[in-house]
Amino acid sequence: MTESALKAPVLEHFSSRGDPAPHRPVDPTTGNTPLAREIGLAADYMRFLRHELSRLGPNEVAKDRLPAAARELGWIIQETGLSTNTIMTAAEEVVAAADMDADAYRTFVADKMTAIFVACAFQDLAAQRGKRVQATLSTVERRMSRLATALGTRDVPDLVDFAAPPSVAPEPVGIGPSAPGHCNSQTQIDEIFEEWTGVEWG
Amino acid sequence: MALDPAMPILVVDDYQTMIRIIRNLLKQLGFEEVDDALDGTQALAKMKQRKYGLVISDWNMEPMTGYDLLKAVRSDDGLKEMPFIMVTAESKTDNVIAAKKAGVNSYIVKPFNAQTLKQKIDAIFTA
Repeated sequence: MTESALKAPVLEHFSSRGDPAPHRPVDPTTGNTPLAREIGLAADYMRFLRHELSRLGPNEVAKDRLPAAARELGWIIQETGLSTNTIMTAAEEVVAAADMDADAYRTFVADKMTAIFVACAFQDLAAQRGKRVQATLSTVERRMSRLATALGTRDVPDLVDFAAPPSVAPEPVGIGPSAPGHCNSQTQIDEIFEEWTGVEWG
Repeated sequence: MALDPAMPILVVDDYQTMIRIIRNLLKQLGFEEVDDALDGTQALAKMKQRKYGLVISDWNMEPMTGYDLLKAVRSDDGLKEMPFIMVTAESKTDNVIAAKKAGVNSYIVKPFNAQTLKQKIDAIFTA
């Protein structure tokens, strides 16, 4: 790493904090940096790196924010499951009670509908929990972006994207539901299905 | 193949809610004999013990996916003619084509309705 590459972020860091910039005299005739100066610059750069990494808040992220976000997601799954169970049970009971006396049936259905309405409150809770998860992800994203900018870091060209299936996969990868508006509809799937006539089995 | 409302159907999905939804829809269509399995491995074991008339399976399950279940069924001499419907959130073209190449009879994308399920079942048994 050249002296200027070492110096620039370090000088900017110290000047933004109001600290006096470290002064490293350069030999005016050769422009060479003595070994001690290089080591000093490297030490300054490491201090700068540690400072920027601490601004990332890695301990807070790893021990508080991300575990909290994971818990929120777990509760969303749990609470939506419970509410769905309540709704389905009420619906099944209404279907099963079709032979009931008319007046009793009306009262019965009204009670079950109330249970369904109440159970639908899961959406409100899930949305609130989801917003907290979003806030955590946004915070992590902002801090990572700030660190990358401060360090002038670029991603390596062969970065592995774990979210996307490999470009040449031996078998189709299951990645779950697509984003709304970015998936084939049933009609489109039916067309694909009908057009493809090659079958390998049998 | 003739459609027999008394035929046992196997529903394979790792989410009990989806099993319940499909079971209720099948009931509305007149199918009362419905078994379920939580993944491909369980499904294969059940299919070796009981003769089902139809398998309705999700894709994303562990340890055995619905896609792997389909391939296993089609490579088993005793099961290879089994009518098989994939009901899944996987909507990518590659997945649809792969499933058809592997021998699936029909492909339904989630979320779906009762009418779609009925149409696909009817199409298999009146083809």
